[in-house]
Amino acid sequence: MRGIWIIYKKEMLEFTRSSKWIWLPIVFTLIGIMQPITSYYMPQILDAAGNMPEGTIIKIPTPSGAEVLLKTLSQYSTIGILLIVISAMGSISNEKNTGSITSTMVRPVSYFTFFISKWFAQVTIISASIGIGYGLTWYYTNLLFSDVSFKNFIESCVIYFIYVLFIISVTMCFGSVFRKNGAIVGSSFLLITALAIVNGIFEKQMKWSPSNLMNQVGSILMDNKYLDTLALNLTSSLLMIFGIIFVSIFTLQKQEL
Amino acid sequence: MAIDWNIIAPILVLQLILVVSALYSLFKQEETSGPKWVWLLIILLISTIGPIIYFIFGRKKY
Amino acid sequence: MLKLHDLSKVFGSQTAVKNFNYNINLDAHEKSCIALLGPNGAGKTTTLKMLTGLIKPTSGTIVSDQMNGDLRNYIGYLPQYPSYYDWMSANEFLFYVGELSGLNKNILKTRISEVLHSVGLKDVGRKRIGNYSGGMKQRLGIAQAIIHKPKLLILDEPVSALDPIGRREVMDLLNKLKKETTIIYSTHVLHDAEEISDEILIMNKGEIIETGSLKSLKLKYQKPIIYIQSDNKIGNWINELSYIKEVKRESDNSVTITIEDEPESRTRLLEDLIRNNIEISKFVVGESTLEEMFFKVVQ
Ligand SMILES: Nc1ncnc2c1ncn2[C@@H]1O[C@H](COP(=O)(O)OP(=O)(O)O)[C@@H](O)[C@H]1O
Ligand SMILES: [Mg+2]
Repeated sequence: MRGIWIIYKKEMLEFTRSSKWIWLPIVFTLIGIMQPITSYYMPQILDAAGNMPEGTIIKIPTPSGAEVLLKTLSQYSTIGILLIVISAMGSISNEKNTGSITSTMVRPVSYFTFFISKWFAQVTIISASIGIGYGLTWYYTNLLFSDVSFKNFIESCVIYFIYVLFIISVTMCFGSVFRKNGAIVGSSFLLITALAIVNGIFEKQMKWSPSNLMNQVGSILMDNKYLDTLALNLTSSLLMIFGIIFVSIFTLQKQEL
Repeated sequence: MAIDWNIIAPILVLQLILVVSALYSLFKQEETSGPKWVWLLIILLISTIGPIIYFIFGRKKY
Repeated sequence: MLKLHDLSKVFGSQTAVKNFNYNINLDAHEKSCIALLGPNGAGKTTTLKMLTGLIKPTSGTIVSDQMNGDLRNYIGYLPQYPSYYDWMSANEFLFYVGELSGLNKNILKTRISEVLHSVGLKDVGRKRIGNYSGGMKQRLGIAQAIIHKPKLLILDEPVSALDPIGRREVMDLLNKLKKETTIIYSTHVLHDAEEISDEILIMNKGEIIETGSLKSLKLKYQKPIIYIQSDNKIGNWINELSYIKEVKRESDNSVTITIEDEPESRTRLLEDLIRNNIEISKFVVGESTLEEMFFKVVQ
């Protein structure tokens, strides 16, 4: 436990030194709040674009607050995934590539401690960034559109958080297997997107998939209710996350420094 | 419907923070991957994405 | 005592280390400084990494009666190609590794300034490691290896990458440290092994080929060698002489021979040469050294 805290602190210091604590929350905030703001000003934006014949009346149905929030989350699960993957890609591999991992592993530290403390560190900065961004988006949405209840906001946030845990774990697992950041980003992004696409096509068969959590979020925001497969979906996602973490640690142990 | 600056201002402020902190980091760097002036242009000219690309790929050490 | 019993390590089809048997004395009053000497690829790094637990031996065991539990608690290690976090200061880095080794905050604070002082980095403890020179990084490497007062200090080629000044600094530092702890360090330069070690282990192709104190090895390989040139042919009878260890024929008329290190050997050789009617034109007496032996190994 002590070891986990020590390495975790070191990771946090690195995030501060590398300005990650500045840019990652700002990016997620910008991506988030752009959504309500551009939706709100869409009529003017179209107007300013100006290639409409004189006298055209622009009529765009005003989206509901829930729709706007959901759009933000779907941004978070495209560009957002890429950002999460980029944030977590070097966590393990950079230390292997430079050899700095040796200075930790030559101390009485297990690979479990090493991996899990880094995992917690990534989870902290990424979910804080998303939390801030999504929270501000919710604030703007309520300001400019119809209200989304705090309960729905929090619940969608928590379920999306499980999906984020899955993405972080997958990326760090590939980070334990590969050394090249290109390979890590490529395979993580590919796997996660493929899962989401397959999920879109075979929705019935994919109720267990972490990517299906986005459908759960949609149901909470739009219909104010859970899909009946939520329990299965959460359980299988969490089990997969544990499994992936286990595989990562096992892989690290097998490799020789 | 006039532009309400109370709504837009936070975006501008965040973008400003992003650019300023990227520039600050750039000037502190002894060495970047690729020429410094290219990164300067990227940070200044490409809104939001420029500074982020710099933070991710631009630095050799921090 | 740390007993390395029959260690071997195989990478794929390549045997990096085999049949490595050695006991390292860790008793406080019998501290020793061991040099692991061998050409590149001899298996030094692999051996030292097995000692640290960073890699597991393919077979063989490492056991100790003085170290319980995780051996890494008692070991300080300087890798051959050290890499630390550039964005940390030396103080922060030493704090990090010290905490990992189980030292508490208050002890660490004094210990860090102690250690930085002894490696000569006291004034730059707050500087980022990224701005350190090679020699400074190497000394920081030694500082992190001794921060927790290990019983055994393992240094992989501690001076190989340094310029003469850096090398001098590190050598002096090791000389000081060997009074406090048992040290095992590797090198591919005989001179570095001779300078501070009490005990030398020579490795080649994964195996120990010679061990002993510097003194005993020097004696063992310090043999008189004699170069003889004559006007007539030197016959093969010379190979049969009892006091001769080795004969190297340079030509029909000249040989280089290694003889027993006894005062009468030389006289007996001269007598034998005369008895066999050799017309001596040159008789040069020299000495072989450990260096030549090592040089042969490296070839
Ligand atoms: N991780 C590895 N994979 C494959 N071969 C290795 C590995 N590490 C070392 N070797 C091989 O083992 C042999 C011994 O290497 P090493 O212990 O580094 O020698 P030294 O430190 O004496 O120069 C070398 O031939 C090297 O190529
Ligand atoms: Mg080596």
